[in-house]
Amino acid sequence: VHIEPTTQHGFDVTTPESLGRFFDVAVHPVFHSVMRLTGGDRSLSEDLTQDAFRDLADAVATGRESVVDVGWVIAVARRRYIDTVRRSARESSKLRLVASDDAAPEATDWSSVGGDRVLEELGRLPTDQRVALIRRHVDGAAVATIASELGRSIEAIESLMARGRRTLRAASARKDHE
Amino acid sequence: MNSEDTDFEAALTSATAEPDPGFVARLRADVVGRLSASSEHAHRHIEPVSDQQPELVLVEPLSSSRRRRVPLLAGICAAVLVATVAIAVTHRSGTPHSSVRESEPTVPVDTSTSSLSTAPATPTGEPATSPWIWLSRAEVSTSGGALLAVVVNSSDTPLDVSPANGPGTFERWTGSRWERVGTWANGTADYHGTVAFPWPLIMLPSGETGTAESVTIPPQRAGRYRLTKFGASGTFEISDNPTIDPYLGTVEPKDLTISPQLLGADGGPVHLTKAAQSIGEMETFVNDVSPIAAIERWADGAWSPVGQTPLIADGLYNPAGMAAVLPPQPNGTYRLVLTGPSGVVHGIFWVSDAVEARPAITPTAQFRANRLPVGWVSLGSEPRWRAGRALSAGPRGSATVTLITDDQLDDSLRGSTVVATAVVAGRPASFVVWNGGSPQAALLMQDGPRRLLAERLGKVSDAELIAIVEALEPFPLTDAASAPIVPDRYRGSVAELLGKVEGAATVTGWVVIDPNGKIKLCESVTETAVSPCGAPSIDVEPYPDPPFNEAWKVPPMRRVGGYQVSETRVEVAGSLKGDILFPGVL
Repeated sequence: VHIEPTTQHGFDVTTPESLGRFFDVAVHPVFHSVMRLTGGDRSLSEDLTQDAFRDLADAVATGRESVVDVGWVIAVARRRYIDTVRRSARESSKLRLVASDDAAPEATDWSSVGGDRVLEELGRLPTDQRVALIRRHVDGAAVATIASELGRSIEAIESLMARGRRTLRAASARKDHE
Repeated sequence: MNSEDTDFEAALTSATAEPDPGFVARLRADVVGRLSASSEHAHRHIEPVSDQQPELVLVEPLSSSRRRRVPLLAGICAAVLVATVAIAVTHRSGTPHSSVRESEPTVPVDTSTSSLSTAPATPTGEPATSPWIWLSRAEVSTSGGALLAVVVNSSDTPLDVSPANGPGTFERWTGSRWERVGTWANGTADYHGTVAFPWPLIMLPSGETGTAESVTIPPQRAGRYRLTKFGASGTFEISDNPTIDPYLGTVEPKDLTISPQLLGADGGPVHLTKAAQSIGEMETFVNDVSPIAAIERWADGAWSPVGQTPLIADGLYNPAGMAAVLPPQPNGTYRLVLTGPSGVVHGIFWVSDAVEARPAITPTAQFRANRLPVGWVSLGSEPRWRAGRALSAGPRGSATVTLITDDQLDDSLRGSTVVATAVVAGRPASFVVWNGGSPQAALLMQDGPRRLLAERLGKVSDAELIAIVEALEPFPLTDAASAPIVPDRYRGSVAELLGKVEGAATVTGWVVIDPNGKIKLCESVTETAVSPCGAPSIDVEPYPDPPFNEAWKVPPMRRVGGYQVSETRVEVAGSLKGDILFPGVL
């Protein structure tokens, strides 16, 4: 009998062997996605990646899932991270500083900015700004979706994204001068 | 998007780093080991069984996490309700095949000479009303062969048959346990659209049969085997010399979809949908088709006429389709033959006495053009017309229907709109809107009847619409009808609402889902935007962007319409924006 390791809509992960094969395929994109969200926090990214895959193993073991794709694990990891973001936002809402973006240029040639540097600057952004930017510009999520995820209004998310982008522009300009 | 935007997105996308190889290796061992440990634990708990009744023990119990959900009606034909060209094309694809199929075509199966219906598995300790899988063959050759598989939900609760449940299994009885030898992947030819993870729910209501799948069995050694899926299973034998040769004749082009495809020996109502390229083509066919369909049975290598049945305009279930009530028939393969404007069309169905009979139907109104009933509603063991609170009282059998036909409309509405709404067993079953005699299925997708009415007439409020429906109620109602249809107006979160609701609720419009809680949206069969006869409903304001987070994207065609709030499978919190109307059950 031909046992298909994958299906049209995902990977059959019902056996330890097939789960291992899926892990090999998924772990890098999952980690990449989480690293962007965390702004390069490797330790936190490893924790989130580990938790997401453990969730998957538990879901398979209890029969809740048998066919998944990489997006499943990414979504779990992202949700875990956003949960922590929301919690920390509630705890520290009064302590948030308004980022200064006076020096932000009108536009930046992003094609000349390396991924490592962008990741470094993302790590300096306030968490909510970084999440909003990544969800919108990398994941393609709608603003309303991001607003729902972060528990903010649409206007607040648009503001977060604008401020985050200006901050990144300003940081890029400073680096160029240096 | 300007070039800076593009470059900015590219820069963000590139902003990442590789994981540490040591971390990856440790995590892989941890994850795989986690599942291995779980599997070993599960195996240790398999009970010993006898060879004679292998299926009695090893039918896997449903996982507690595979929760039952609020009932939904048959999703496939509901999809047809709102279908456009793509759906019609989908129906041309015919019976879904499993991924293990070979090139052998689907052919009719003669079940006349012996009992080919695989009896429901009756595991020890499990009620005989568990879901099971009907198989068209009791024996398959060791050189391989094909059979048909249909999930039968004999349980009292809806069965989740969503593809998200993953593939089924193909298993061999070793003498002591079922050994997995293959995967029975989802046959999803019946589902259309681009579906992101996770899949929308497709619920098989209690007492209903699912879509027939053609499963090709690869060559195997002789023995006892079973197919399992959705917590149901069906067993068959593989032998060197199978006593039954089920394949008689060749498959013929199927241009008529019959739902359900598997009927009990007592017959029952079926819905017919002609494959078509456009709504107009469907409408033409329905208007011009012969009023009588021939019933033919496959026997001795040919189709033989065995009876006739009148056609009913299936307005409630499928505005561009038809319905018929089939008489009792012995086990076998049958087809309905219709004479339409462009010639003869037919669709195949199967009969098995192992399947419980479906309830009878009751015509309720007349289609103005050819005087056929415009709609009907199923009545079960407790036939009664109900409204309001009583709608959701019984798990099966209770039903009500409200129709506004053209000649019942007042002057302001005459010639403009016909609204038909049915609620079966507490769930909105279907609806149709006519405008000037033309089905407006496409408009339904975009607006729903209430908005359509409001926009076209500019004055129909919710209360007025309900009042109109009440005034034109053409059916005798029980005392339950005196209950207020909308006695209360509720505003609050879904989570709070679910704490108060018993039964189904239909959400109209956009729903904003908060990703952290206890709410789940299920696909609704009706896509109805209004339930004027009093079905539980929650109305929310339209929302400008897709309301679902990325885990709940749905095909574009389903972005507007009804969605059923139910128990949560993947737990996500929900909150609704807008006013919530919830009649009767708060």
